[in-house]
Amino acid sequence: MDNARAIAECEALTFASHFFGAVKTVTPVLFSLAGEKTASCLAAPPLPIIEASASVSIGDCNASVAIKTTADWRTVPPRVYCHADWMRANNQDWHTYDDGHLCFAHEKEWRDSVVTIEETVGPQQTVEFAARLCAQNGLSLIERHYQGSRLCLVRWPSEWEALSHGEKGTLEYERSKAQCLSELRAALMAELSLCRRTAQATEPR
Amino acid sequence: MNVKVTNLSETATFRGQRGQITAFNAGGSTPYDAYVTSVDGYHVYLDVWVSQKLSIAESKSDAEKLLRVIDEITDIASTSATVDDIWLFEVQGLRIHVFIDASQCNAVSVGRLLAFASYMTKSIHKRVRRIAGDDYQGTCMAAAHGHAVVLSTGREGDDSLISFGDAANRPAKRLGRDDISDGHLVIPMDVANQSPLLEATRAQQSGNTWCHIDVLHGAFPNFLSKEEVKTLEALVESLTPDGTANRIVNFAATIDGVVNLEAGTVREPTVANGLVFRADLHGFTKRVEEASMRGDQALQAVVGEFLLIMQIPDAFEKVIGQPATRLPWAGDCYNAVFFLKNGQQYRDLRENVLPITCLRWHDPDGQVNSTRSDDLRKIAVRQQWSVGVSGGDNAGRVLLANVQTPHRQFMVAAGWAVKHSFEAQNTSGLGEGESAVHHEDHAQMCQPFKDTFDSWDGGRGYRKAAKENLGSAAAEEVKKLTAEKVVGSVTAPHIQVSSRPYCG
Repeated sequence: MDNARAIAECEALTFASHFFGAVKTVTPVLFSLAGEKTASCLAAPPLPIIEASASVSIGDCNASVAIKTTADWRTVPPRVYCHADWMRANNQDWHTYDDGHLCFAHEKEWRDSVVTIEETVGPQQTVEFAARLCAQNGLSLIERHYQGSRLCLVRWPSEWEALSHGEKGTLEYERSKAQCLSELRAALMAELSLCRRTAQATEPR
Repeated sequence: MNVKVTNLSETATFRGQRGQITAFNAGGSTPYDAYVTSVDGYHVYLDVWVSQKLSIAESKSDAEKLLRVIDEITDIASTSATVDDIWLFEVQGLRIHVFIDASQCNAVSVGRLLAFASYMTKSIHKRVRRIAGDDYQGTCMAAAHGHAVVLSTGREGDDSLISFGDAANRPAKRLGRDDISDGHLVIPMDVANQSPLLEATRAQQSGNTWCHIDVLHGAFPNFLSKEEVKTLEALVESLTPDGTANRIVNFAATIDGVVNLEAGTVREPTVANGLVFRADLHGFTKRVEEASMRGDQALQAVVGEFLLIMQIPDAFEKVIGQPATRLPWAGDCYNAVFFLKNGQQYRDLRENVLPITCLRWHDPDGQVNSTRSDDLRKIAVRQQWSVGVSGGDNAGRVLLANVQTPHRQFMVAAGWAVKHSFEAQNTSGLGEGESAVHHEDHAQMCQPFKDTFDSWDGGRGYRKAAKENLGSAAAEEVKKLTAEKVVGSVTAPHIQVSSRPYCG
C-alpha cells in the first residue's frame, strides 16, 4: 500500500469516527473498508471508502445511520444515509437521492466550509470539525424527516431553511457565500475559545 | 360520475365490487358508479344495549358473545327484511338501520311501524337475552317518516345503503340521547298523531316533541302472518347451519403488517390493534334534500359530488401512512380503523398518530389537499366535518367481522374504541371543524396537541379541539425545529451555523 493511500484511508476513518463521536449512538459503530467500483479495469485503482454505521437515537426512536467517506472528502461531501420507514427516499423536496443518501449541503458550500475550517482551526483539527459539521447537518436533515413524518407533512415547510434546487440553489449559495463562511468562521472561533477555556479550567495547577 | 336514478329495489340489490369506480374510469364494462333512489318511508334505528364489559370485549369469551349478539340482531333484522316493504340498510355493530317503504304517513303505515317495532323488540329480548344473559341490557328504537335519497355505490364492496334526508338523520341523532327506556320506540309526535292505537300514549305525553311508546309490552297488530312466521323460521334455520357453538375468537392472532380483513367472519373475526376514526360531514343532507326537490338532474349532480367526497379519505389515508381499513360509510359519516405498522408500538399510535389524524383530516394547512387532483381539491376544501377518534387502554383492540345477510354483507367493528369514537363524535356541542377524543386517550396524547383539546359543557368525558388550534400547534412544532437549530441527536457542542440542505 502506498503512503498517500494509507494516509487517505486513515483520514477517512478518522472522519467517520468523529462523525459518530458527535451523535447519540445506541449501538457500537461498525467500520468497514470498501473500494469504489470503477467503470473499467484499466482505470485507476479504486478509491478506498470507509463505511461506518450505527443505530442512532432520533426523537423517540432509533434509526440506522451510515456514512461513506472517501479520500476526497474535502471536496466531495461524504454520503450520509438513514434507514427508517419514516425517511422519504428519492424525494428531491425532502433532499434525498434515489440511493437514499442525503443532500445535507451544496457541494460548493461543503468544499468552501472545509477550507474555512482548515484556515480557522488549523490542519490538525480540520477532520474533527468537518466531521462534526457533517454530523450536525446530516442529522439535522434526518430529524426533519422524522418530524415531517410525525406531523404527516407532505411538503417541506418553508420555515425550514434550504437552498432551492438546481442552478437557482447554486446562485443562492454564491450570493450568500461570504456571509455563510463568515458565520462559520465566527462559530468556529467561538467554539475554539470555549474549548481553550474548558481545557484551562480543567488543567492541574 | 355515472349515477343511475332508479327504484329502491334495484338500488338495494345493487352489489358493487371493490374498486368498481376505478374499473369504470379505466373503461371497464360497469355501467354505473352508483344507483340512487328517492323514496318516502320510515327510517328506523335500533340500538341494543349490552354491559360495558361486553361492549368493550376485552376477553375472548366476551368478544365471542358480543359478535354472537351482533350476528343475532342482524339475523332478526335481515329475516324480517325478507318481507316486501322492509329493507335492511345498515348494520353498525349494535346499531341497525331499517327502512319501511311507505309513501304516506297515516294510520295504516304507523300501524305497520308499530307492528315491526314490537316484533323486533320482542324477538331481540327473547333471542339476545338467550345469548348474552345478564349482559343484555335492553333495546330501544327511534323512527321518523319522510323523504330520503338512498345511495348504493359498491365503492366499499358489499355494504350499507347510504341514505340522506332529515328522516334518515333525525332518529339516529335522537337515539344518541339517554332518555329512551328499554323496549321503547320513539317517534315524532306528528307521526304518533296519525295512529288511533297511540291515543292513550299521546294523552300522557302531551306537549312533547317525541312520543315514547312501549312496544315490548304494548298490544300492537302482528307484524307477520302465521304463514310468514313459518317461512321466516325456515329461512333462519337455513341461514345458520353452523350453530353458535362453533364461533371462535382468536386473540392470539397477530396482525403482521397487513390485516387480513377478508378472512374476518363472525365465526373467526379479525382481532387487531388500532385507532377507530369517524368523521361526520356537515350540511350535506340539506343539500341533498334541496336537490331532490329540484328533480333527477339536480339529484344526480349532488350524488355525483358525494361520490367524489367519498374519495376524500384516499389522500388522507395515504398521508397518515398507517395500514387502514374503511368500514362502510354510515350515511355521510366516514369510518375507518388505523392499525399498527410492523414493529410499531400501540403507545405511538395513541400518543402521536391519534391527534395527527384529527389534524390531517381537517387539514387546516392544506398539506393533504395538495396531493389531490384539482377537482377533488376544490370539493374537499368546501366540506366541513366533525371528528371522533379513539384508541383506549386495552391496546386499541378492535374486533372486525363480516356479517352475512341474504342480500348484503356488512363489515362490523366492535370494542372500546368503536364505542368511544362514535360517542365522541356524537356528543352534543361538537361542531364543524372540531375533533373529540375520550379523556383516557387525551391523557396519553403527546404535546403540543394535548393542550389544544379541552372539555366543554355537556361534553361528558370527552375533550375537543378546533382545527385552527391543531393547525397552530403543528405550525409551532415546525417553527420550533427551525428556531432551536440544535440537533437533538447530536451530542457534540453545536457549531452555531444553520443547515441548508440542497438537492441539485
